[in-house]
Amino acid sequence: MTIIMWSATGLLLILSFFLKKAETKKAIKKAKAMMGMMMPQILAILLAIGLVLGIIPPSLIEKVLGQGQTFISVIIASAFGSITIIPGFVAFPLVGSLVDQGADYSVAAAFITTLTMVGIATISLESKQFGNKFTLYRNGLSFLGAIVIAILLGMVM
Amino acid sequence: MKKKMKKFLPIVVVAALYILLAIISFDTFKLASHEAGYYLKEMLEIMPIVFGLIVLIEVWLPRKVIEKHMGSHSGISGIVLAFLMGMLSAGPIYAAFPITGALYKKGASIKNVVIILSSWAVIKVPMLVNEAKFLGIKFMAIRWLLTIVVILIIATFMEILAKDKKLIV
Repeated sequence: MTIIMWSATGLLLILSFFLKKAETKKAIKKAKAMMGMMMPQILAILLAIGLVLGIIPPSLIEKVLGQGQTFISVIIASAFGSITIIPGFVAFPLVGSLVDQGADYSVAAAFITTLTMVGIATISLESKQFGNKFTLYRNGLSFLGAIVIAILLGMVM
Repeated sequence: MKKKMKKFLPIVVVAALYILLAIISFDTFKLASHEAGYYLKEMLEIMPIVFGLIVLIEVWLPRKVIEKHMGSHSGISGIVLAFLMGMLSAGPIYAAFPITGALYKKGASIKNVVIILSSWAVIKVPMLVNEAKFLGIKFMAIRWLLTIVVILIIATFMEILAKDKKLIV
């Protein structure tokens, strides 16, 4: 899949270079500057996430979320999910086994939704692109939205 | 020089933490490196594509076209297009920022930018497939529906906020 995407993008870029040389050159220069600005930050964020996940293994997350009152777990799950970024193929088995162990569906929904929609780790990247206010509002609203989704889903399931 | 230092400061700090961790507990260090390695690989795979897409958007998508299909007056078709773009995307959320940023600069509305970002984050198709496998189709379908409604509310709210005060500088 990655190879297909790489070749497709590469081919289009080459084509673009031949058809609109000056514009493409200019755009590449601009994109380069942007990437150069983002990359050190992304690198630091990814290394930091590795650090967090190394120190707090998924098994511990499972243990903490699996017990206690549902509402409190929803809040903890949302907070946890907001801070960390975990890829779906790790997160879903984890959340699945949580539910199998008796955790409420709302806890699962809160975790999944905040996991990616609220990104404390990526706040600096987002604000670089869209500014502090936008980032703050979007993440804040998404956090509240995640809790609403969790509660409604818990009621329906 | 000072600017450069500021740019690399976060990496230096994190690297120092890794060294510290290696001294305290080598096993945890190994685990952390392993986790980080996965994310780094994903980043290396996705960023060249993001780079290419930004260039292509800049060169080939005229402002008029983006304004018409994703701008403030694009209506329901703009919303549907934004959801489709987010859901059919691949890659981590940080890849979405430069791409939506490029679209915004060329006239996409805040509402549609927020829709792309949010649906990119939580209701990507590959994610939904995985979700159905581990949590059941019912869970996935209900979460999908609820999330779409919530994203619409958040996006509309952001648009109103943006009209009131300058959200993006």
